[in-house]
Amino acid sequence: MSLDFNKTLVQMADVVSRMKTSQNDRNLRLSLAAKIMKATRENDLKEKLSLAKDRPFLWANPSSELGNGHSPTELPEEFAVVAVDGSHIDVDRHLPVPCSLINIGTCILQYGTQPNAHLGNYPKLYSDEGLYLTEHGTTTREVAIEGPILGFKRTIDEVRELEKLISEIPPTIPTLALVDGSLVLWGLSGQGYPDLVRQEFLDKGILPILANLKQVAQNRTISVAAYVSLPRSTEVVNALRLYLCDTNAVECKRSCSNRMSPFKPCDLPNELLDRELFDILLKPGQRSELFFTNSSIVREHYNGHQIYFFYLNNGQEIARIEIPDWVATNKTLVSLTHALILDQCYKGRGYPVSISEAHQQAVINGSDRQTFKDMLSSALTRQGLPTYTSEKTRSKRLAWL
Amino acid sequence: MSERIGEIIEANTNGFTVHCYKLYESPPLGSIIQSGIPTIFGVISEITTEPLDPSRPIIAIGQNEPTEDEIYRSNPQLNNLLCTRLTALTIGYSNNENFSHGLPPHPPRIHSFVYLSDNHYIESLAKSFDFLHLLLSSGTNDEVVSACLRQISQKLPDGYPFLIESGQALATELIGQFPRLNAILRRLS
Repeated sequence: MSLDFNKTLVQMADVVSRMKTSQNDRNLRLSLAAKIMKATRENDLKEKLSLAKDRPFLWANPSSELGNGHSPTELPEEFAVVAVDGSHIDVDRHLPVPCSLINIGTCILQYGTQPNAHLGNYPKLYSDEGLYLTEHGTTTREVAIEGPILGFKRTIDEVRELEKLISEIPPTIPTLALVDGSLVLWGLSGQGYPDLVRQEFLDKGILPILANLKQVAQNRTISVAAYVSLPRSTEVVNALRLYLCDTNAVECKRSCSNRMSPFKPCDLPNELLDRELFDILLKPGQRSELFFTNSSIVREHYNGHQIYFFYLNNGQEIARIEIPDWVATNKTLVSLTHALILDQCYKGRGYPVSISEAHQQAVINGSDRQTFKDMLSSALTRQGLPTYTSEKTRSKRLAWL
Repeated sequence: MSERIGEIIEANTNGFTVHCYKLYESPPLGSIIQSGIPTIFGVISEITTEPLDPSRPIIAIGQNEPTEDEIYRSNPQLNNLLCTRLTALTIGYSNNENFSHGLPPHPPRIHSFVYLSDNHYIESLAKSFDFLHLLLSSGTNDEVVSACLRQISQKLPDGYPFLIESGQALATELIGQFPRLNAILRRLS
């Protein structure tokens, strides 16, 4: 039986109707919030934020005033952009062989007097011990690499591949290295995973890579950035919220949530998104000021590798760009990052063309997934091993009457 | 051996399709190319440039570019995502220097390397006009026939007598098809 669209449509209409009712109020609050952001003085803001502690929401720390916009600089004559993206097939317990696959897509684009491109993809199959994280020297503490943990592994594999791509570009050419998504492994915050997972993906994963890239950047012009399309972040909105707040932290913690506050005047930015504010504040091509994230995972586990971000109006949407501290503290690199990402977005009609091509290399579509399963079964058959699937999968494939 | 231009990606006894190594770098229509062991000869009857992935549509992207070349300079990935393919009609094959007009017993293998034919093979081919019958009966555009004859004549030390003789051979092949013959001959002059 397929989805009953009649029943669904009635509920959709109700949701949209409620959105429409609140739209005017939301627009007014957005406009006012943008005005306040533009008028806020840097020192007042920093003073207020420095006193804020222990709130039930995450706020960004601005490096300057909240509402400023910066126009892009000229592109260098010669430059290169490298990008990676990944896709994976998770462990499927309905398959006869426990295994997973990570496919990393890569894209190197070189612009200038000798334009060139190189596209590639690197699938890697994991099975047996490759499906577990094991604490060194023990066999009792292990964590299965599947679900979100496989996602972390893929992110690390992507950044590791990015590191390799940079080394393929002549060191005299200014290079931007791009990943899709975030440089912050948000999912590792909190107590949801054992230390083993954090050690693997932070201490042995992204942190040494960031440290190495920082080292490489001392001898050549490279920038590293993560690109978030249609971001849902509220860190800047929450900084504004904190600026407006005159409620004490105890009361705030008791009554406010990550999304909203019941008190005035800090209820002004309730449920607004950073990108909505910057859509008002930034002209096409402009970027916002730099902010650095106050996330607990970065604060507590990134060993000083602070992650900064800015918003960019790429002419089609407001994107969030994350950069490591060594890029953020170098004005030339920030300008280069801004100009090159914007150019990538123009070339890609609203999304960086290099990430888009890396994605095309990485993507595993539905037909590929089925072929993967069929190939696995054929390989087993050729070796005279039994192939089987769960009765659940079989019943889904053949919905009998 | 001449420069290698690509590899066979589809083949049957009547002809084959070649994926050219370089975008837009196909020999011209009507050129003689060769591939495989025994060497199979074909006449380029169609050249196509299209997306490597047929599910990706091509759209206009150069509105703000000053020249067509700038489109490719600003989008170097196009060279990796587009490809030039050509189709060739088989006209003969050779084993140990013996040239045979007509279709080979087997098509060339997939991924066989494809080369522009050497002049000495073309000279052997030009000794007979048997290949004209294959071309004219293949259903290909007559422009391919005239292009092929022009290409061969340019490779011969003295191509003019070849063109005269090919006109006579065409007249024999196209008895009763005067307008068609006339159209091909006009394209030879």
